[in-house]
Amino acid sequence: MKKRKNTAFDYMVYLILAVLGFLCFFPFWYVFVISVSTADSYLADKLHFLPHALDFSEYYRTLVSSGFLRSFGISVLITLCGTLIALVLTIPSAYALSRPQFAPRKVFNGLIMFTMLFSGGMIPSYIVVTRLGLANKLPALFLPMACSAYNLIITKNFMTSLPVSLEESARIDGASDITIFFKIVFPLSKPIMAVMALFYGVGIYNDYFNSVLYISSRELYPLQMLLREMIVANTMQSSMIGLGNLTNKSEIFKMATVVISIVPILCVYPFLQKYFVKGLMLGAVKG
Amino acid sequence: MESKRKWSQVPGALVLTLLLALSGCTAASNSSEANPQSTGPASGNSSEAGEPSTGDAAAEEPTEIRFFRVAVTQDPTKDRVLLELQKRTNTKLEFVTAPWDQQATKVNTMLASGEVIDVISMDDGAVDYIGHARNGTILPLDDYLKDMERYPIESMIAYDDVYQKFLVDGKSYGIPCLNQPGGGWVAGIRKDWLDKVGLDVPTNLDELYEVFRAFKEEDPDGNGQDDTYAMIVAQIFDSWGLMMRLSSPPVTWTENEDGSLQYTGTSEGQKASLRFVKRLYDEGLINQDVFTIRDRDYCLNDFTAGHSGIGFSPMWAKSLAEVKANCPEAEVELLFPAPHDPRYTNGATVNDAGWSWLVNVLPKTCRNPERVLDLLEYLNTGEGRKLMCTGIEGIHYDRYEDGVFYGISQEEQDKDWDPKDGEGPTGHPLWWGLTSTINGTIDFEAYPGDLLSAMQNCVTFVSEEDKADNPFYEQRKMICEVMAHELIDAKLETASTYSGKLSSISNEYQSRLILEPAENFDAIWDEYVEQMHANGLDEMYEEAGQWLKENGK
Repeated sequence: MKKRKNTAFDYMVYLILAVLGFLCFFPFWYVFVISVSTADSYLADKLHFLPHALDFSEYYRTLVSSGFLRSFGISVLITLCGTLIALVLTIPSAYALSRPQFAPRKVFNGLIMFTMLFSGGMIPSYIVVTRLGLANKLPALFLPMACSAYNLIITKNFMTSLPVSLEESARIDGASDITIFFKIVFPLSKPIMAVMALFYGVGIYNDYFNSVLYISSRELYPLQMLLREMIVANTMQSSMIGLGNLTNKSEIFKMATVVISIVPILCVYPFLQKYFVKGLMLGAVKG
Repeated sequence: MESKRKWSQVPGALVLTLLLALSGCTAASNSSEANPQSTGPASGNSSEAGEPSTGDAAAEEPTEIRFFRVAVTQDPTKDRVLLELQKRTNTKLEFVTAPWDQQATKVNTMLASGEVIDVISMDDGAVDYIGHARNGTILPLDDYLKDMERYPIESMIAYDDVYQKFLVDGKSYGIPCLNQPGGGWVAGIRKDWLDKVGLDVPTNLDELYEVFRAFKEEDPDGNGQDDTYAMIVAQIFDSWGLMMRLSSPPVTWTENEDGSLQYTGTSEGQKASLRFVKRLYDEGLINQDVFTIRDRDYCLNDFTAGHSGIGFSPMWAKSLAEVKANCPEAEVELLFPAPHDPRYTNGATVNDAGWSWLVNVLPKTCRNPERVLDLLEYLNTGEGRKLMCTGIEGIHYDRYEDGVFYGISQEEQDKDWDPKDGEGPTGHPLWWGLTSTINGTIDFEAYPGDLLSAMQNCVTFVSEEDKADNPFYEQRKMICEVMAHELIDAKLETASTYSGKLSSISNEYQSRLILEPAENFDAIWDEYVEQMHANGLDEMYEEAGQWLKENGK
């Protein structure tokens, strides 16, 4: 087959895509360049297109600064626990809601949809969580969002697409509902489980607002909260009282911290990105 | 078979019910019994009775106090300074904290949820202090503060003229934090650069202009390159404040010569300040990215790196060492008072709005207001300040005499806090802002009924080393000498309503005044003043005028 020759229009599309790609990539590059700059090169270069020097000392400072590794561990822990609990709740629930023989499914669907559209609000949530005794405890960082109505509906849509005939043949062979779920539905649901694991995992890993509300002890800070404190809070305090970051390395320190914090997501995301797209498509075309 | 299938649906229904409970939010009842953290109002809570308790019961058992303050990094069960504080005040402290930029969310949520919290260090700029006072979510303190013997310092602070704005309808709802104005930021200038270009320390605008020109054009660092400015100017924070104060006082309201009220932001002095900046900008004597710099540390960092000749630091005692590390030949002299036009201002770059910013309030869930006030009272005493600023005598330092700490042990301090992480290199991380930002002691008794004089004559803490060879250690005290005074000592409700909008208008027009052609300057200024009046300034004038009339000032 003869290869089609690129037209001027194609080149224009390439150019536009290249510009868009650059616009997406440059913020990361900008942050990285500053993070490896020396204090002098940071102040001398206003644009930070290219690193004029390579200095990783602020990375070292970030890694050894008090609490970084502990907070990183906490983030990993709550991400794993939260994702596991969320999957345990979401997958079976979605399966039940997707089966026509489950008579009250429409009622439950309606109620779940209602919670998605009309949230109780921050203060009722705060009251529930604190009165459950979860304040300043790690479960407060993943239990309140243990099941997302949005994710549940996407998963339910996926389950609806599974052929009922598979279950019927299993039932003829004497399989119970539990057996059908674990032996038939569960293996077929791996793609949606991967998507949900990513949705929940990235959400919990990146969340800091629940920490603001529920965590008082610095020893329980997850990574995002610690980073926020390092980048925003300390800067504000030092600006106001003139302590701490009276050093021309503070901006480099911030950028090094940002780079380190996004590394775990950068490592995982490219390999599972296709599932993200798949998950969004599932939500879009089924229902 | 059919029946069995129906029964098998029951667990699914239960799981879904649980999910609904998790994904929705149940508005729990507001009863204090439901709160597992709450012990309810203690028997000693006399807020209903209106009479302070004796506090005898508290003398036996440590009083539990949940204290909200932003950015607390210390653990009261491990930190030796906090352990000592708890021992001296017979309290058991628990700190609840949040990042600086999230304090309003956290405080409002706690207050609205009825969570037990005993004292809140509230930023009245971020949280609606007056609203909470009027809604009854924070306690009036007048009944407690009547006990002048028990709370002599707090009674003085709460009702003094300096902190009038914290009185709501004549009642006290909080103990203001003793703040030094503007955080103590003062400009400093490279004296060695001045010597090279043959100029003296500038005192007026003409001399300052010459400095800006010479530091830009005459290669003061001697490297043969055009790479220096007199000062990095940015529309945020320090350096902009210095520029705006050249011809206008750092207060919100002033008085015109005819005695009429004047909003400083639209005054002739402010216009003159902006015109001066405009001239520098047009002639390339200041950086051209005035309105895009968002790094608050940039001005000082550029100065310490040796690229500019005027810096702005809250603590020259520390900044000097950093400048010397980069430029050993550097000599720094404070620009104090700042160069100014005496027709409009006295060179103050900080105002007494800075005196009033943080306030300690007692929410209605406070379990023992008397004991909380005892704690706050202690923190403002000389002993309390010494403990919170430098630590425990015999451990963190050897001895103290007339403001000087001898034998400060960095090794012992490092065991309790980490200066490398910005947790307060000069002292304990909580020395600042818990009840005071003054790094020193105040003799309240020597100035009865005159808090301002008491603060102005504070004894500033210093290490023996700094006392011997650091000329800047008393910076925070010095700024009080030229401090400007607010004409309106009140928190205007119209200011709360309109200040955000007025600030946006002001920022927008400031950039237009500087960036647009010089011939448009007067027209843009007139448009700016008109916009300000049309968007809330008229209402603020009316309320401020009424306040002035009622308070006879």
